[in-house]
Amino acid sequence: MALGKLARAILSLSLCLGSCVLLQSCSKSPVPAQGDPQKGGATAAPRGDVNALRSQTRTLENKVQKLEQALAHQYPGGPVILVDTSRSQITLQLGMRIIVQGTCSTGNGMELADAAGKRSWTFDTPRGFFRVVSKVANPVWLRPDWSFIEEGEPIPKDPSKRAMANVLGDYAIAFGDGFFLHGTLYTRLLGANVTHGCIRVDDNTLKKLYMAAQPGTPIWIY
Amino acid sequence: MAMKRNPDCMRSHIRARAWIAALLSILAAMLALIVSCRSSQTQQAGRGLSEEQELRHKFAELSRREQVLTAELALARNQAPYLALDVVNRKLDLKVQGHSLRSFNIVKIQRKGGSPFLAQNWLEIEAKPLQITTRPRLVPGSGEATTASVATRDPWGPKRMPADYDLICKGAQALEIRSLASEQSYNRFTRWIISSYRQFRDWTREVFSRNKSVYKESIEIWLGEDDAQLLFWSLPKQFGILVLNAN
Repeated sequence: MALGKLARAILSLSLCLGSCVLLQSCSKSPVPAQGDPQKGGATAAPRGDVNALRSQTRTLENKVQKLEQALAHQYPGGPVILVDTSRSQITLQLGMRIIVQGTCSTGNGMELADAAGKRSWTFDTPRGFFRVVSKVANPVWLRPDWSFIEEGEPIPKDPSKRAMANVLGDYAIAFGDGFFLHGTLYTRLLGANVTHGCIRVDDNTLKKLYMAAQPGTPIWIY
Repeated sequence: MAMKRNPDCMRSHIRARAWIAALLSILAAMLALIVSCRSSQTQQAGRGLSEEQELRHKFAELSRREQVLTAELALARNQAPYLALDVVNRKLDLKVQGHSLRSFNIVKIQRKGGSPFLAQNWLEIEAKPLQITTRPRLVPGSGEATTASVATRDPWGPKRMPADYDLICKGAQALEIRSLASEQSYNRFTRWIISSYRQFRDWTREVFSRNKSVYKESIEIWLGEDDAQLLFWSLPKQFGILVLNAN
């Protein structure tokens, strides 16, 4: 009798435990699997938000990637000329690859005024971005007014008297406003800031620059 | 004797025990159920939260990167050189189209006025030196050979540039470039004396200057003297400035 009661008690206990396990398992079944946003339950609303956030993040990721690519592609892949005026160095690059590097001379920073004091010049090499405008072999220099004033000579009225051959080296590359990349007779002064604003380069570097540069080639002077 | 006397009492005692056991087991089961449900909910919520937090963090980082890249791209699309200043990371670069030409070490940086921002583009309109730079003058008729000889004796270069100057930008914004003694030029003690004097001079200039409230927003950047002069030397006439992390 006592054993029967005990058995009944054990049975009720096991039934309770069984129902407990069953209930627990039932309570777990409606929870959606991770990453399944369609299923409901208590986490439905936040999971919906997470999904939207995930999609927004993906879109933003693509946008950032495109922006990074756009920035990386800004720098030209073709020939570029860089002039570091503080180190008197000129570099020809093909994209990021250095093709040739040489010593140059840039503006002497001096000021010159004519005797009447009406006109003055500052011999600086401009900084910033420029493009090759034109290039010429065996250039002839057309002396500007300041050259005559510097030498103490009268300024000629006949333009042909301004022409001077064999002073700019074998080649000249114009980059606007009367400024040129050219050769020099004063090779011992290369590396010093002695020019009137043009960029003087040694013959070897100049030849390579002349061969690579085309009208439109970017020049950065800094 | 006693057993024989109370068989009903004994039976009811056993029945009561069984019922108590059954009730206890039901209670235990319910308790277990509640606990398991709660822990399951917490786990789910925790998993969801950490994933959401991670996503939000990534989204915020990407948003920042997008703003920075958009601002830089606006300058880089133009071929002109620009300055990129990262206030928090103390980096100053002269760049063209996303490519750095020169980098400068910022020793000290301080922001005055304006509200915090992540990325902005300023436009420099005037470089205003606080010291006067005298250029060598050529005497008419002296000749090119004399010019070259003067130029090599007294060379023009970054060393002749001002070390303290304001880069005034559109909209009353400015970068105030100030110089400390260069590490290469002096020993530690002399450098400390010179740098302290310069900072004091700048402070007095700011306190007693009539123009102290000219800029709506400014960033004071302390560079080594050589760097400050080299920066002035390298600058084009007008240029953009990318200012990052101005918090």
